[in-house]
Amino acid sequence: MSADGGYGDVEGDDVARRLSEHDIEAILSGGVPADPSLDALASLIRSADFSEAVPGSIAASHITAATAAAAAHLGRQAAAAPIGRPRRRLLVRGALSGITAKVILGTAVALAATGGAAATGILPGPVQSLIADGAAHLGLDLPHREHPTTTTSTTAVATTLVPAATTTTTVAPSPDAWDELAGPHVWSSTACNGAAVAVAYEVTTDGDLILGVISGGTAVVETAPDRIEIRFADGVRIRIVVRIDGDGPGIDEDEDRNCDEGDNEGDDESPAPDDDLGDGDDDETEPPGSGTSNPDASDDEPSDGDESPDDPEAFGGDDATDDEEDGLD
Amino acid sequence: MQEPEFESVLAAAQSGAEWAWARLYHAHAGRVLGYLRVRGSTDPENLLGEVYLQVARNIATFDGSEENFRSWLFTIAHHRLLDERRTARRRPTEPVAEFEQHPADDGDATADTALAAVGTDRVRAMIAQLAPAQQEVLYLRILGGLTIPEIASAIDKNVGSVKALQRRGLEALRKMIEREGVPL
Repeated sequence: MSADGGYGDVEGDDVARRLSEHDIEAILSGGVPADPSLDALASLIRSADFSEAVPGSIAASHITAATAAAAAHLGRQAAAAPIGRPRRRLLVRGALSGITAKVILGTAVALAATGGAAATGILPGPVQSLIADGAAHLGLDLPHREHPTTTTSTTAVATTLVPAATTTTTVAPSPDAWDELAGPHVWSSTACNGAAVAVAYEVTTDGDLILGVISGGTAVVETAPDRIEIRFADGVRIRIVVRIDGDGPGIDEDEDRNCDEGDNEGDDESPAPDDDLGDGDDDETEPPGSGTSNPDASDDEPSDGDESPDDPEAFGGDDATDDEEDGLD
Repeated sequence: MQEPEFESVLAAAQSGAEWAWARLYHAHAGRVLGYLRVRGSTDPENLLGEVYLQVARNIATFDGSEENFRSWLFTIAHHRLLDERRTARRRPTEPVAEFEQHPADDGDATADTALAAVGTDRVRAMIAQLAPAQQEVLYLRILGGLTIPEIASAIDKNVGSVKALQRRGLEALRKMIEREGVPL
């Protein structure tokens, strides 16, 4: 064994027993190696099945989130944003500074991203509707797709919100601590009716929250630079907060559930299961993608693994450190 | 016949069709989850969601076969794992569980399934004794089906290094079998 506890290179007499390229390929592709002494190894690897069943509720939330993210991306592409995102965002943030009002910053971000598409109503239905709802708060009149304009049937229900789960992510304080939390995040859960719900959001390097895709029937969305709160129609509320305290910067995901009765407050009559908001992650730059099998990464900016995400050669950008941790020879 | 089918699924996924995403998910998520688990992810289910979310964001520019798609998927998973490890390193209160063993799922598995699980656990335990880079290469090949050049790109090594890691890993496994014996 090597010093790091792993088996190292083949030494001494074993050099003469080096595996041939053919046998290696046979072993790893489930075939039969030419060298009969390798049968046991080949058989062992053939017998292994590392795949795992993904729990149904988790799979459902992942699928709905992915579908919504793809749809939101499609909306952004169609838009070709007539007004630059940075400028629009600054205007909105200026207006919101210091308040946590029921104003939909996420909508503004989505508007910036979707631009003319939202104005003309060509976005996918749920995206269009949610953006139109939010735009109304900002004094803009955009067409709805699914929501009848006369709706909003509110059913008053006595509710007691029961904290169901709190997920806290913290990092040790450092000057650039937000860098460690910056990037895309996803909260997902299951609504009281068993439907998958998910919220994608991004933490910027400044510690701001940007709302991404919401999946699972959105009821009410409230956002501020440091907080996102979403109440789903089916009794689930998620509050995402970025904060700095003695433990350093962190993200709190507080989930409340009220599954006794449906919480229809503020919801329209026909909540679409896939209501979603335009992905607030506007930092994407399109990878060239021509025939590439590795368009990984235009979203990789927030993570610190891929400094040059558009370049397939740059995958795992700072793998120099990885080599150290992996003990590469 | 596989290519046209995948092409239509891909096109539908790019246009936001949920059925297509379900197809892409169910075809590969189990293997990706297994990969994330054996590579020591502290929250593999959550990481799996992040992988697919990134796929969704970039799917519009993807063009290739289903094999290419799987390679891409595992490349993203590999990068998300690196990110998770970096974050964990900087967060001393939550150390990474490097070789977390997972239960063999449902208790009503058939005898064949149970046998396969025993074999899988044994292979996992043996691979866990390899150097981490050898493990990475072998898992990306066995689970992800990545080619040598694809692995080289994913882990930022040259092709020769990847071949060497792969060969040494397999030779070490052979030595383990010879020394310790592995009932088959």
